[in-house]
Amino acid sequence: MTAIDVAILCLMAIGLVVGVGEPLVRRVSYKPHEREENDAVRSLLLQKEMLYVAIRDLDFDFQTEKVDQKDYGELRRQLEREAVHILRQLDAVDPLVVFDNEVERQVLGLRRHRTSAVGGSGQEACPNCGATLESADNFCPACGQALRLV
Amino acid sequence: MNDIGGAALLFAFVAAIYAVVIALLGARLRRQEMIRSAERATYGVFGLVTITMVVILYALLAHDFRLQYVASVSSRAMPTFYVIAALWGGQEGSMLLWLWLLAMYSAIVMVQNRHRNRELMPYVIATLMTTALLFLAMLVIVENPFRQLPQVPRDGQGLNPLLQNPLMVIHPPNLYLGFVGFAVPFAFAIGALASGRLDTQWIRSIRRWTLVAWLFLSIGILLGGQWAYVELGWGGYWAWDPVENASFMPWLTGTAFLHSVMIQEKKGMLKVWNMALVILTYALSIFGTFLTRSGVIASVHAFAQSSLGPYFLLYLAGIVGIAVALLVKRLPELRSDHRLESVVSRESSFLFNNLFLVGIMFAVLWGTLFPIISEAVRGVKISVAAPFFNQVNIPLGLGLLFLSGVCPLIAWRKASVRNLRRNFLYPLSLSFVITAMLYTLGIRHVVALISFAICLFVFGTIVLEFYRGTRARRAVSGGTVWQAFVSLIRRNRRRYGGYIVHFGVVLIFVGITGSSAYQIEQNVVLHPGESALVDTFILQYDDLTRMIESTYEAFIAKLTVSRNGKYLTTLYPEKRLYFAQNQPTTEVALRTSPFKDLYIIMAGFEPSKTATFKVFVNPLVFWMWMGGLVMVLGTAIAIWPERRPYVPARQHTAGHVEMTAAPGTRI
Repeated sequence: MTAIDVAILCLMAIGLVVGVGEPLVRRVSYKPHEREENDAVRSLLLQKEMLYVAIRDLDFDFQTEKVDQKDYGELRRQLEREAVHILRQLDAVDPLVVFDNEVERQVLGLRRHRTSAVGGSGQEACPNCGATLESADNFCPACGQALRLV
Repeated sequence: MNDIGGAALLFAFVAAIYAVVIALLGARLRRQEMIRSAERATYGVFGLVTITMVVILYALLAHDFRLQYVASVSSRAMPTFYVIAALWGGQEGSMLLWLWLLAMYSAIVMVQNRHRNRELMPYVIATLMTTALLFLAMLVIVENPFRQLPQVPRDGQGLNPLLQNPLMVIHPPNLYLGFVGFAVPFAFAIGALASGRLDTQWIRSIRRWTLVAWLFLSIGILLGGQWAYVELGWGGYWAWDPVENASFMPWLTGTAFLHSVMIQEKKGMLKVWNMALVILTYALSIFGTFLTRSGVIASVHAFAQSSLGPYFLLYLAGIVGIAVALLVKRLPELRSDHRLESVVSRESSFLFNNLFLVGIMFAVLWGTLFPIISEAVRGVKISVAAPFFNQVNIPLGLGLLFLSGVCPLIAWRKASVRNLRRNFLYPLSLSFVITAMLYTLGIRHVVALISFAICLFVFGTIVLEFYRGTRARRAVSGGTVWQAFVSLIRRNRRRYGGYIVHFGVVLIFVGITGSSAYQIEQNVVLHPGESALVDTFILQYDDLTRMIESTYEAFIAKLTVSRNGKYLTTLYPEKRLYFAQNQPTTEVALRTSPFKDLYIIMAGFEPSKTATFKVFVNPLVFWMWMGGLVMVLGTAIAIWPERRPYVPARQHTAGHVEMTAAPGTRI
């Protein structure tokens, strides 16, 4: 074994030990970049994607005449129902949507407050639910009833 | 230099042990830095095994005959091309290549999953490195490539002449890329089982890996068939030889997995079955390597005889035991999310496909193991010949081919029977009409007719699928037929790539049917100047010449081939005698064409130059190799990254839809 061989061997050993040991010594908490979703959300997202693909496949099978109109309608409705169910569950656990809902709730509260503070001028009641309307409203803010032709 | 290689191998061994231990410890203690350290060790194993490979390669090129390995597989006179191929021409080098590919795959997996699948990764590392340890242990302890000879010979023995063929240079790496590739899905399966992350995420992570492994294994098997065809000189390409079977079995279960995994992805069903298939495929890959490398079974090309058997079997028993135990532990969590909606659905047709594939696998396994079992039980080694395999596998294979035509016509979830009937009409008519034509043209071989009929039917369904798909695409997005066709494939790479693979399989069946039902074999004895008629070919034997090359002496016959009075080609079948090994070989002379291959071997000759030729006419073999190319094309399309459909945007969730109509929103 020549001196060069010994030198190369030492380099190899040192390289290996340093490379392998470095993460242990640094002990930087290696946080994965992606947000680790909790199990429930992850499973729901996967199910959602599975359903989207299923809907896409069903549409394609229909377009290529493998499913007839009746079966297509039935299956499509069933898949949509499942998808909506999953989406609702997702919304219930998604912090972004929960936050959005809170903002919407507060905006609504503020608007109600202002409406009642201004009071009276040009106010009407919704023919459907009786909620207070403003003159500019095209739809009832409470029930969504169309108030005039848009 | 050789010391560096030996030390690198030893270091790799230590690093792999470290990786397994620290990864499992990291998983247990939930310490990311430990898992990162295990990853580094995995990279280290790759680097060190690469150094070992380079050192061996250097020793081969420098003709360093101090090393037993170099002396046994190479010689000074060998062309450089084969000296490089000798790197995997012998036992140790072959296992080193296996190990190096595994280390490379492991390193790629580490890079891909730096930020993904973090909970699975410690187990993935541990599984991959345990597999690496098997090979490292054998290389370090039993078959060390750096073992030195007590006396340095002046020249090496040279590579087995049968292996001195360009196909042999690329066949083993392809086969190994396939075998080794299945370690990655297995590692992820173990990761999912051990970590309890049993949703479809792990399946997605390995989809491409499985396809890549499957592709290389397919190419490897076909190249092996082609090598047997042009090199072994018995007129065929497949003999149900144990080593061929060894590569075919994981291919069968791998194919079954590629299909059944779609059902898990789409419907969350067959979770246990898929796990079982992944475990089985991996076990069969290791088992295949064991069959080839241990010399336990006599085979035309089990080139190795060694004492590795117990290592493989012990490892196999251990790892399969662990995998099955994990699977049993997780059984309650692996329940199906859905049920089959209808018996007439693509899901159920996939189930049948799986049954056929696994059925063929068990038949092949039984036939391969029977000699060992009979020897163990009765003390007599009874070899199972090709007729057994053909008898069992021809009907199963044809059934499988038929299913590959039926599946695409059936919708997911639930097919409407009326539509199904309509969809079958054109392919069946096409098949019926052309088969009837073949019958009137004189093809009376029943199995061949059935096979051609099914091939035509499947071809019809594939064309119909592309036609309907293109039409539907055009109706939605307009444009020319070509644009719609391209966009159809681009939007559904997996589906249409798969159909193209099926088309490749059809071509392979055409080749197999033609060459096995209509092969002509004839022995002719000719003096120089005489000619003979074989099938429609007239062979004129012109002369026999002797030639001396650096590693062998050759006797070359010159045959002029003509048909209907028209010159076709000149063929040169050879007999060679390799000096180093004192081994005679026969070089096949081949004229290939889409219809018929003319395949000539010189069986023997006398000093008077009278020669005996074995002439085969093999119809349609050409299409087998074409089918292989089509399969590669189809798989490449399926592997190509697909744009993700319906990228889910947050604002499209149900809650938001509801909210826009909720109180307080002005529209």
